[in-house]
Amino acid sequence: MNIGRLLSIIASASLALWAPGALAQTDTVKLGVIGSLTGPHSGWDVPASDGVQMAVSEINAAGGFKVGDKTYKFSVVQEDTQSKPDIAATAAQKLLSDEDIRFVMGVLTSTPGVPVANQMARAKVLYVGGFTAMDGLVGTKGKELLLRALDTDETAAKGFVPAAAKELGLKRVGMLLPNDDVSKSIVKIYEPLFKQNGIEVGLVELFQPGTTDFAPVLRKFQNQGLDGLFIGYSDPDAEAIIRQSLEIGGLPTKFVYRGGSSQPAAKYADKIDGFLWQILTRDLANPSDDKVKDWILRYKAFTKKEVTPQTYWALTFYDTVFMLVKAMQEAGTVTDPAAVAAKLKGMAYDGVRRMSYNGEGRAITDIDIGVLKGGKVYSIPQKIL
Amino acid sequence: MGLDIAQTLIDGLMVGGLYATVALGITLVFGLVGILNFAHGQSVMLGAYVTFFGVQAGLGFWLSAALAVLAMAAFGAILEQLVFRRTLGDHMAGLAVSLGLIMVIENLAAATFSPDPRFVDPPVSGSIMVGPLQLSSQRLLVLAISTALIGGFYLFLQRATLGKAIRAMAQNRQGAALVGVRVSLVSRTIFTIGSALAGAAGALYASLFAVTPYMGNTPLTKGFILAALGGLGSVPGAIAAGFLLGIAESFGSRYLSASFRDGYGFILLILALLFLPTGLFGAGKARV
Amino acid sequence: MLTVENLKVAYGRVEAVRGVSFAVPAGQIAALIGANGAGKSSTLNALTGLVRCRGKIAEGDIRFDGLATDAIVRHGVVQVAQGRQLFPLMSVRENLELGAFLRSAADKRRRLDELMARFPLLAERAEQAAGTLSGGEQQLVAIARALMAEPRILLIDEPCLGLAPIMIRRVAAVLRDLHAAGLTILIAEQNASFATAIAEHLLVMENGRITQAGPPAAVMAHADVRRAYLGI
Repeated sequence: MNIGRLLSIIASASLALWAPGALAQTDTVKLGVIGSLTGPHSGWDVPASDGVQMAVSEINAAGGFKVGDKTYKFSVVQEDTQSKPDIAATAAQKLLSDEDIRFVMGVLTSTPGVPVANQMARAKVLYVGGFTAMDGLVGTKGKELLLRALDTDETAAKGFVPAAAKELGLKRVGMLLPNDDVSKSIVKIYEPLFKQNGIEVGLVELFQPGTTDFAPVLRKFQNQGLDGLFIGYSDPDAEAIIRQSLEIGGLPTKFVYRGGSSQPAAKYADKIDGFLWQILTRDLANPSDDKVKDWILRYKAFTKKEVTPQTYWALTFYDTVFMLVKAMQEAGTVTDPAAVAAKLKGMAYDGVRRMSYNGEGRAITDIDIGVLKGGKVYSIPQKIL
Repeated sequence: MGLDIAQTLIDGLMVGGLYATVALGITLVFGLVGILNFAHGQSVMLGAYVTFFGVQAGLGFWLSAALAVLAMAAFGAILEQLVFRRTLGDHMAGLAVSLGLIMVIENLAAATFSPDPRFVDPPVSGSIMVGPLQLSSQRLLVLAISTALIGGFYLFLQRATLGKAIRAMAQNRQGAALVGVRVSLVSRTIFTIGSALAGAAGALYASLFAVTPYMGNTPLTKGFILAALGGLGSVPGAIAAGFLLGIAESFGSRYLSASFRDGYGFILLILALLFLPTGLFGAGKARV
Repeated sequence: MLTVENLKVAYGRVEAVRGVSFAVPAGQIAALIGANGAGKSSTLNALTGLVRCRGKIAEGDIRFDGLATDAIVRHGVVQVAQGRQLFPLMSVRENLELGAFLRSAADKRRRLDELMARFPLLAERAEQAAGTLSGGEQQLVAIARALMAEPRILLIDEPCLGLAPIMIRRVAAVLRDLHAAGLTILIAEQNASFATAIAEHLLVMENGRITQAGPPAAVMAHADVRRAYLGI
């Protein structure tokens, strides 16, 4: 466990215990948690909600937290967006009808996320979300109290590309991605970054989304003097590309995957010369950091669940709760979301992850880079902050 | 350049063989029973899953593929008995039922197998040099198997007594009944063979591509394009169209844009409908 | 002896055949004559199991009403249906071979050789697609295909429909040959002069019922029939 936080918990706990009359005066801060607890998006949002609940339970068990002279405990009010935008709008309204709720977090998928974020912005509530479409919302006028807890592609790429250069020794790569807006923005971000890191981009190809047979398009990458392929961004696409590259032959056997899992390369580990992927938080599958190991133990004990690739979202929002407490303490208020948001922006927090928000409200956090090389799987921490 | 063209051509043939195998089943059922069997793609998907689970259980690819063919043959026979027998002669009902079947089977598969993609270890891996051409071993194998299946089936239709009865029924249902062909039995046989072919195609798909509950849709759409392109009901037409589509997609993705891959098939279809309204072989009511 | 008792065929609510009874002794040529829609084709189709019917159909003691067409063909009752019902894209040889679908391979070869010897035209056109033949040639192929099954009872629906006079004479000759060979034949025919020329027994159908029956001369002597079919 992180020593700093441990100390702060002990400090607040001891304050709560020793200050005369403090126990009787413990007040409650209502924390809204929103997300798809049911439906297809629940795979993301249930872990996120678990992370918030876990943090709240730890804080409350330690006696709460002190802001100014008062000690507070969290009480969580939860609403289910059911993976649907219309239900999400109603769920957000329901949360907002309770005027004591000034801080809300959750939602990692864009379809239900956008209506939630819009309602939160209108109600001038501090809202920390995670979905991709939030990148277009944070930092715009009237949305000053919105923050996104995940790195943008641009931020993650700043750590990812140098790692690719260093770990795989790439000189010239080809980029192969599905033909959609996400890929187009990925190309725009990564192409210059590759160049800055001394890697030439020999060829960029966008394939039709849903393609299963990559043979013809992979032929384009033959005889181009490439030593690596940059691929994305879903596991099935990546696995199909790796598999079919090996099948066709005459193609690079080093892969840089703009995705969050080693799954696509797992079966081909002994046939390829390297595979890099992004762990947008910390490596939970093969942790090397003690504070990550400790967090995993507590997570398992609290949720009675095993660690899966989706557990990242639990960690993301776990730290976010502690960071919110820190911002409340620095702002000296639990009732003024604007003041707390202002403190969050530009603040750095060293939890299980190292995270910060820039002036617009976009997360800038350190990430781990997953590496599969020589049949071995490991991760390297990458400083971005 | 010449080398590249040859390689692209063979890539196209390899996938084309798969397309043709699927289209064959569709055109067969349509030509004979008059039903556009939308559930055909689901047979491909289920065949792929049988193969995947067979390989996972340690049966090896070949045994699993054989199992997929048998299982799908049984599936086709059951489907004919339970469903399509009752919609004979009512094309709209047949269409509605088979569309409904897609939903039922796909969702059941998603619920049972989970939507996660699975990959089957192919019987051969890597690539081989054929002269100056570097070709995928597994794809060559798939081409060989699909060609053998298609060729074998074509010979069966031309030579075998049952094959002749099938063709006779396609050309004249009443005439076939008059010479003593038991039409209902042949209908079931057709469904069984069509579905078995889909099972074989599923096993071959699984050896190359990801297995998912939704994988049946692409072969199905392409199969229908091909059946139409070949002149609905024409077996040689569907086979030729299958290879043609594979080649068109391969050249399109290689030399034009890969982001338009599935569009090439529709362009072919539209051109064919404009200039060859009766199908590739111009046979009009050309049947099996 | 083919016997039919109280045969009824209905398509939904429309009764096409309303209780028909007749008999064709073995070796006889009989003809059902009547206008379009009188129920002739429905009667033949009922006899070969192509349409559902009620009533009793038997050859001797063996009943075969309600059986499927293939069982009736196996029993030796074969129909040359209206429109010939050939397989147009298949060669003449394939059409004929399919005629012996229920027979052994050896039977099929023997029968094919016999028929090709008997009808040189078939041998001449053996590899031609049946759909490309003239109407008369197709009729010949259709009759030959039926004969491939070696029937004991042959039913022919409108053998002369759409044929040139020369072809009609040829078909008549073939039927007489078959009759001479001992085959029992039942023809459904609108062309009364053809029927009277060839049949030994006429059955006149009107509105699903048999209204007259007997030898051609007797039936044709009947004023109503002459008016209706011969226009005199």
